[in-house]
Amino acid sequence: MEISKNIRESKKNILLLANKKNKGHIPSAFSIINFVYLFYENKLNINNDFILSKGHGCLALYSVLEHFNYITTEVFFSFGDFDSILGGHPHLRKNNEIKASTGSLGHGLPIAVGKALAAKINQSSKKIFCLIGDGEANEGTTWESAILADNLKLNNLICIVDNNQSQNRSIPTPNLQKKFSSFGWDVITIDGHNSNEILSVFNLNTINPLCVIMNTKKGKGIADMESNFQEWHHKGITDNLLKLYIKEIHEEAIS
Amino acid sequence: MRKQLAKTLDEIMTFNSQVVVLIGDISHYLLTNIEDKFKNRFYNLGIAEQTLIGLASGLSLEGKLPIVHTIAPFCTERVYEQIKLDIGYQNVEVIIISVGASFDYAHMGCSHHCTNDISILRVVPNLDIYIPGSSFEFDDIIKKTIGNGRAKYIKLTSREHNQTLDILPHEMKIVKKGNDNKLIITTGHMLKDIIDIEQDSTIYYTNSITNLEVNSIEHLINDMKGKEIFVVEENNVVGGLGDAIFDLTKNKLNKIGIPNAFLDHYGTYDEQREFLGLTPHLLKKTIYGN
Repeated sequence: MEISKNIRESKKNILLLANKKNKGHIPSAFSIINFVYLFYENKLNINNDFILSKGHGCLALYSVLEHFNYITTEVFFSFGDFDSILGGHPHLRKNNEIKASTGSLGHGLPIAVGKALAAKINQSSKKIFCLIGDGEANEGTTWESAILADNLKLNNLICIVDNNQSQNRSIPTPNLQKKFSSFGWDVITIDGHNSNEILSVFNLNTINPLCVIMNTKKGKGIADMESNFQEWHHKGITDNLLKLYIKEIHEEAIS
Repeated sequence: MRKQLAKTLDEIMTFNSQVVVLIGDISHYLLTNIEDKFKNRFYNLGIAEQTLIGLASGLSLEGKLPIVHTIAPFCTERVYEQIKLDIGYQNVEVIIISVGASFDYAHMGCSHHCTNDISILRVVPNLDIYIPGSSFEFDDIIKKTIGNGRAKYIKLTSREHNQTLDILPHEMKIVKKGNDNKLIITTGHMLKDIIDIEQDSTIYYTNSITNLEVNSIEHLINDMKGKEIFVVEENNVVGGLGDAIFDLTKNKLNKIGIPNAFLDHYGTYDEQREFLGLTPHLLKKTIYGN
């Protein structure tokens, strides 16, 4: 399938980059890459905004932007260089497809609320998709935003929670469904590695702001990263592992 | 000045349809006419200041001109990282207007004082800071600068001076040329106090703390020669107007460090140091010229 092939290719590029630069948040990118890829594959970025609030997952965004020719391959592999437009966290003044400067957690969702409010004032049909992490949901601004989005009736705001269990050794945010629902949001839970379930979200029209709890795996597709994601959180890849992991990605079944 | 706020907001919302006013549950009673008149451009967003600032930045990214208003410590110190990143780093025009000044709420205690706002905001790049000395100056500053693409912090005070000055934003204005050996620089309402007590001194005044206009500073530097200089302000002296003047008037201290700008490159620690001139080699060049 074309989609699976392209997602594999984007993941392979992330591995190549992490090997070349000896750095990168790979597991955090692999948990969200299916969503980011499909968002761009379906050209949702043309009329809507995608804010990556968990900015450390930016390799997923950068590899997808490279795939769809928003940045060149050369720029992609300049990641982290002094004069590169691509840093370890995205900065909106560097590329038009970056809709907020993130990195410090808890900043993307309030900005998304402001953008969604502007769209309402303008009576525009624009939707704002904001992807946060489940760990990021610790931040108080998540819940301030949840209260305000409900109060302002922002049904053009979609908050996707990358529910990759990253906080299992500190403070997890359990029962996200109940939490958002009690704040007045519509909530849907999907498998973040299933294309059809992701696609079902894109055309959903709701009465209230929508929270998509996206169950994912950190480091999806690479067994060692899936089971040791804490160790792999921010790390480069050696030449030997690179070969092994590219093979593993190549054989990954993507639904 | 707070009454002027209601009047000025009404006027700028009338002539600029992009202006959106957001308050943190403060001054609502003063702004009910705006609320009635501009139904979808006035929001009381309650007590969620961090999100208030982030939300304002989102509005600005969509072409709106958001004006945020609440008590000074809650829209500066409490939301410092939101101002640094969502406004400064993203470089968007958000206007923050505070009330309460340094200690207008003296009786409420330190939770409601804000003596450090100027000091901490001076080091946020892409942000202009104003301390209007009168209602007229507040109205004038906002009308002259709104829409210029720059983020702004405007500190309202309950006290006002009684002077009518022909002063532009970012100007350092000579108010009086005196014959004694003292030169006094001040800002905001304190101009009145200085005029009341001065004997025959030279007085300079500004209602802007950042980006002071070069020509007017050159006049000041010229007049400073041979004088005993005082900077009088109702702000923390660490990082306040005094420090700003000290830097601008190029005293004998050469400050070497990080300029007031975002380090918006990536790379390595050593590359940043090289860029900033902080490597031993570049320090030697700066200090010894070779």
